[in-house]
Amino acid sequence: MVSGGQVGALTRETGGQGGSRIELRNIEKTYGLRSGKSVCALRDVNFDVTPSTFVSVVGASGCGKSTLLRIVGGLSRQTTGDVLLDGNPVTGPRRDVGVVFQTPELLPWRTVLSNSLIGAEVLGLDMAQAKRRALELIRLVGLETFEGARPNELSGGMQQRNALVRALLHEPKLLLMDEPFGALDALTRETMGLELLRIWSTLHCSVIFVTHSVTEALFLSDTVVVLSSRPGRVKAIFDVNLPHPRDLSMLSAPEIGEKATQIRELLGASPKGVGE
Amino acid sequence: MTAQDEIVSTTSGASPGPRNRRRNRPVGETSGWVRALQYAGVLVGVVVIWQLVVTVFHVNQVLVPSATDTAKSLWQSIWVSPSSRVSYVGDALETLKEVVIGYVLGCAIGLVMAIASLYIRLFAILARPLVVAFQSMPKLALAPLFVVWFGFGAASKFTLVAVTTFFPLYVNALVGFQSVDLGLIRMMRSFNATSLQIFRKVQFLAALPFIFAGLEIAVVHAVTVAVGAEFLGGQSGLGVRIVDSEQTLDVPSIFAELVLLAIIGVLLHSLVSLARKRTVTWTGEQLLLKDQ
Repeated sequence: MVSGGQVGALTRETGGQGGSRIELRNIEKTYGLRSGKSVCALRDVNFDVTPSTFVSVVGASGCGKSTLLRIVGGLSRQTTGDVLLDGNPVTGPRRDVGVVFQTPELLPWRTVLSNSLIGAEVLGLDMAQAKRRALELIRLVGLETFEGARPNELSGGMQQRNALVRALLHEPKLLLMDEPFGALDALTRETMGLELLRIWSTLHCSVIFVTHSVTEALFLSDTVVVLSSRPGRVKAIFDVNLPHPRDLSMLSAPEIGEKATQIRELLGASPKGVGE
Repeated sequence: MTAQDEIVSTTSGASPGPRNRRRNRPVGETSGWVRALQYAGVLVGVVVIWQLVVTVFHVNQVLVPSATDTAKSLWQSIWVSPSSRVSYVGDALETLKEVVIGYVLGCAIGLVMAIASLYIRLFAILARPLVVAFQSMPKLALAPLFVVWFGFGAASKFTLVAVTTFFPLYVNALVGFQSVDLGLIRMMRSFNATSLQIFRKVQFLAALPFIFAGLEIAVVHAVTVAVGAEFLGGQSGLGVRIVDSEQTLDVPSIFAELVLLAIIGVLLHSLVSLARKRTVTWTGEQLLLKDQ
């Protein structure tokens, strides 16, 4: 799928700096409602992300996992607690973080290439170099024949690949993904998961991946953080003992099956399951 | 699996991308040439029926001149003696000038006010009720006042046009700026974009379909108001000539002047519409901007 040369080039460019270490310390977030009441979305959230690992956060809808991701990305402010990125507190959006949202959020008048470059324009990067890297990443995600296509000419999966290129363009050390495959059909979703792992393995950034799919979390991650429903608290943290690279046959591995059952029980799901 | 497998087939699955975008027309839209032919056909049909009705049913030609009499009057004015006193070519140009100056001025003011309302809260609070109150007033009623202030010449006419055209621009642009997808703004914020960057790269472009809708509404109003203002007192312009022709009961000339007005209207509207099609290439025609 990808020739060795390209992978080498991308890895060299990141300079082997790897991903960042993230530490969450007693994160609490309360929202004030218009009625004057306040709602506690997150309480006492503590966990660490080891550099260059893939961490998923699972929980039921509305448990505050997206809020948590926004706080880590500096897009939202926690009420109390600290987010440390390589030891430095996060106070706003940072240039060493890339974000992929639930929806692709592509600008409809831009092509795949120029949508990929929007971050570089905003951050004032060297455009010639950014364009070169964008083309490499576009090839890496398999969109090379669609450089000039606009979002309405792409399928949902291709749009999310485009969003991934945009998030990775400025060589972030941390990639935040907020249910990025939530809007895709099951088959495309599995494919995109595998692609993401492949891309991640060439870039070595840290990833925090939010999802409500227990299986997806287990299949993709090194570590799965389970959040309780509102207010979101860390209920348990699971390490996934499966080797990389992963393949679809591992979806039926006992490691995933057993832990999925445990997580579903923790989340209070009925036997029918809530994950998918 | 490769990305190609996922392609959405629109018209052709083989080569997607900008190369064949021209062929991906929205449903119901025909090519420019076919449409021009359709327009011409309808026009010729109307002229033929007009001529037939007037001659076959012996309509009083003082009241309704035949198509040929109207054409004769136009021909006289435009080709035979364009510089004579009875020619209305100069008047057509005068009206066109008033419309264009007033339109550009009004639209620019509307756009600037919309941007100001977006970023300056106090301005928005002060401007909105005033603009709405002002808009409820029939603009043509201001024409005599403007004649007092700016004289019988072009100034009073294009001022009225500007005052009329700024509103659709102000309202449409403001709605456009505010209706931008919040997700896109969140995406821009994730790169720490400034509000100026967000405006330039996202909001303004997202609002363009709305702005063009305002421009198209405004262009129609502009011609109407300019002629109305000329009726109410002016030195030259097609409105003035229509009133003159009325007083001499020269109905063929009135018809000819109306034809010129129609040409001006269609011309300006086509220009705006062409500009929109060249600029806003990412939305379907069916969104917001159906061609009338």
